[in-house]
Amino acid sequence: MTEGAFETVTYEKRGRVAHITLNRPEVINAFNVQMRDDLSEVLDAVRWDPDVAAVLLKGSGDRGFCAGADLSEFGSAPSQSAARNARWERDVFGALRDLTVPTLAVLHGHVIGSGVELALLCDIRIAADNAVFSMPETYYGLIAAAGGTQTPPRALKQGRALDMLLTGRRLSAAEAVDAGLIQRVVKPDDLGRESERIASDLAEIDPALAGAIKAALATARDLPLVDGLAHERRLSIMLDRGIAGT
Amino acid sequence: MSNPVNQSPEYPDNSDGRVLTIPVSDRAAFEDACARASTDEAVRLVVVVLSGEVSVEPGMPASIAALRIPVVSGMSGRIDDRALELVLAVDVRVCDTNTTFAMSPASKAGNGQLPSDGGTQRLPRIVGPGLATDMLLSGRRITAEEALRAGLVTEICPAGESTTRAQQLARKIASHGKSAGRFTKEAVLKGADMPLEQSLRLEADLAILLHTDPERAEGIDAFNVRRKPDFRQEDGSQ
Repeated sequence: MTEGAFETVTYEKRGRVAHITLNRPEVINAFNVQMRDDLSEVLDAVRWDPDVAAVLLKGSGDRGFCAGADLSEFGSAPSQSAARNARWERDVFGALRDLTVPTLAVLHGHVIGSGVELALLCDIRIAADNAVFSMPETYYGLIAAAGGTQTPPRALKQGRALDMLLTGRRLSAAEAVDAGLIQRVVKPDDLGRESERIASDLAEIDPALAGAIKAALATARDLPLVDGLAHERRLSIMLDRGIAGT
Repeated sequence: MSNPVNQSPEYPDNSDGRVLTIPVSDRAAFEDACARASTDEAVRLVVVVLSGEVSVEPGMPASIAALRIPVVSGMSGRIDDRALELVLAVDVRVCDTNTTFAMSPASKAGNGQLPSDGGTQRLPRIVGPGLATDMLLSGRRITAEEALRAGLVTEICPAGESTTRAQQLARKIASHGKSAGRFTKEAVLKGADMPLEQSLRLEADLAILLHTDPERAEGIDAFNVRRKPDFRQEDGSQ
């Protein structure tokens, strides 16, 4: 059992829902190396835990979900090749994206840079109406490196994604839902209850079916239609025969 | 999506040569400016101002699409056919309230010719296949509001202000890291044609390549001491 408190993340199972909470509220849950390592352990536990049927990812504290990468640690890699190796040795972003169970990002307040990227690696995004979204990387001479140049164009349409990335434009929760960045907006007081309701509904879905839906959607995104249709058909037959998810 | 971008200080004007406005009405001047945008290291950003009256010649959209630095356009009037193809090759598009857009190859105005400057390829990628098909086959003209909802523009400004607004956004982007803007554009546009997995590799490699750029160090230092980054030293300009 990996449940419990890490330095920067808390992990708790409620029923079949894994609650993962970014927990550096003093810096609006800024994403640092320790958080990467903690999240990596948690996601590994989630991946292999047959009792987990849905994941809810949120941020602690009132100020926001995640204020982005902790730039105070940037520039500490000994070389570019070391940085590249580290990126793929502990690919926490890939681990989140590749979970076969449904994942729900629960967003409030500041959702900046890596915060947007983490949210876009989840399947569904719900936000409090006080959430504000931005990708300010280029302002600091940086580019997004956890999918921020890839997942927003796929979720938002290319023009809006380029605008956010190049100008640093901030989107309100209402604008984010119009743009397709998030799917649902609720009052801040309702965020906890509503997100738990959605997550427990997601956990009710047969995991083999949920996994197949996610796999089919990934194919729809990446493959020509003819190949996607064939994959969907195969997945459907496998599910009927009870051999999906193997 | 009509809120102002982050309220950070902006450079007062484009006199430092970072923002280049490309004239559309004169073909030779247009190509000269595109060539300068590709070769002059001081130029960080290109602005294209389009009003419906200007005629856009074949090949001009391709010249804009070939630029590796970010391009902003301000639009007004009727942005039709090749003019629309031109702005589809632009990265950030804003228009004023009176702007409309149409792509009408099947109509009389379109002369029955298939668009050949990207209209059938970029339009569906930018507004989605449903609206693109409707526009291309029926020639339906869409309003600025519809264009905003479809993601064809990201901001609508009051009538007559699209040029000013485009210049403002241009100065904003030009004050950001140059390599960062260029790499971001490359990652978005080139990554769009890849499976997600490969596109993430491209993004990560560009991010790590950026480690070698002094702009990145300047940006991180500025963040850590809570000051505004100044990228003018790093690119050899000024």
